[in-house]
Amino acid sequence: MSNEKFQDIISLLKEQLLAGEHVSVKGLGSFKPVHQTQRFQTDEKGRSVAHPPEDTIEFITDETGGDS
Amino acid sequence: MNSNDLIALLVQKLSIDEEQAEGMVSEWIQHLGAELSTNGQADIPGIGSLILEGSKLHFELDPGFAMEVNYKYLGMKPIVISDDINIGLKEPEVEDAIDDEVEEDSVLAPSDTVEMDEVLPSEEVIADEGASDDEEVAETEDVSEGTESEELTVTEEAEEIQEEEVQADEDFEPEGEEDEEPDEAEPEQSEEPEQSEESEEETEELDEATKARIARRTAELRSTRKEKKSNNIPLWVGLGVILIAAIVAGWQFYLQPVMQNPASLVGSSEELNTVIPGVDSLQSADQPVSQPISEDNQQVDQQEEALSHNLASEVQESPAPAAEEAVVSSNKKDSVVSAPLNATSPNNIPPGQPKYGLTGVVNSQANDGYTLVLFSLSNRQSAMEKYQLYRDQGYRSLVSPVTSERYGLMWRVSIGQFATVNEALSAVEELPTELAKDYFITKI
Repeated sequence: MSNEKFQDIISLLKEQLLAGEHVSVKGLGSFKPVHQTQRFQTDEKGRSVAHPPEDTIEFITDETGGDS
Repeated sequence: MNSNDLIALLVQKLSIDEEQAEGMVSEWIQHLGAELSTNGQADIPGIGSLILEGSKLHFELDPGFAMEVNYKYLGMKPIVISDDINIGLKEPEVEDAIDDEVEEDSVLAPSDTVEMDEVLPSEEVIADEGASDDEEVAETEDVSEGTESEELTVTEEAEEIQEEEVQADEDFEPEGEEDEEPDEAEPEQSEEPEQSEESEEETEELDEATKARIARRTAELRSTRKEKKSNNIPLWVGLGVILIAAIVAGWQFYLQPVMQNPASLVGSSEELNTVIPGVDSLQSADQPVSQPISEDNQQVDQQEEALSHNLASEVQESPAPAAEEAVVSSNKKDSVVSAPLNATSPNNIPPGQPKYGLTGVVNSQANDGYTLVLFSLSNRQSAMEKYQLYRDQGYRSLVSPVTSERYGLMWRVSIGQFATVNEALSAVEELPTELAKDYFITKI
């Protein structure tokens, strides 16, 4: 079965995620935009390294079958 | 957004009834479940893949979509900061390399030079001693043979030409010479054993192991000499200078039209309205927008500071006409450009304003520090609106064009000018929550 058939759903999902929306699909799970702030670490030479922030998407499996 | 919201949106977007939309979603979930059970993986094109790992479902974000989601921080790389902040990542490595070279030289040069001076003369003496015996014998033989054959030829010719010279032939009769030469050679041969005895006495003093060690060490020193000769550090330094000059020249070439026409930095809204065009590869392949601090970067920063000083007043005086925005299409293809456009010359800064700070008027002399970036936008108009918004709120508001190979011109809106990262972090505490939760610190 081709994914093209579900292109409208996928486009809608993508659109919502890019808008920063948390999308929960019953029976599948939740897609959640996550922002990781800038963080600082000390490298092996003892210097402070600033890592840039990052926006990403996390997926949480719908283990309960519920819908948030 | 939950499933009901998604279905409602589908209904609205596709103009279908709710049951159809529910059916679509349900069918999609079944499709994904079937792929997972069959292949252990279900693709959601353009978003990512669900991968079954044991009993757990793992989501792997599509690299292109990951870049779309992370567009604000695209191309940013980790930067190394130190206690005094302005020391970059590569400086210690360069120093280490230099130290290593110095250490190598210091290890090799003094002792080897001494040893070389000590060893080479003795080696030459040995070579001379070895060669003197053999060469002298060989020379003697050559001379005697050559004299004999030449004299025979002269004698035959003399006999054929003139009888008077026969006497001369007799004087130079080969037999006589053959008899005499051995006599002359004999003393030489008799001297050779004496010399060889002397050399044997000398060589007895140097045992075989010492000679071997000297020869080996000499060979090593010679090879070291060759390596030293092939040291191309001046050549590389020269090439480096040429490269830096080329970079600076290119940089000025790029910025020249910008200086003449600052509004040309402003991208065409029509061209740049698409937030992320053609995303298809990993972030790591991008041109880094924020690079580790190095001496070169510091030089560039100084240039930027000088340029931004010139740009500031011009930009503020002349809003970007639409016709001038077309120039950006050629500029945005270049590599990295970062020049804060809104710095104010020191003469226009209110008296008593500190050089660095979160609020006040942007000071061009403080562009050697750090700033809090709040937005990176592809739309220049949006960036200028943000810039104006924070400026009206009293912040030192900066907008800087940054160019990446992949996404062209982006506009980075930031607030504050800080001498150190720690000062910037302290200033974050003064920010409203909506700003403090989403920022990053970078060098101006």
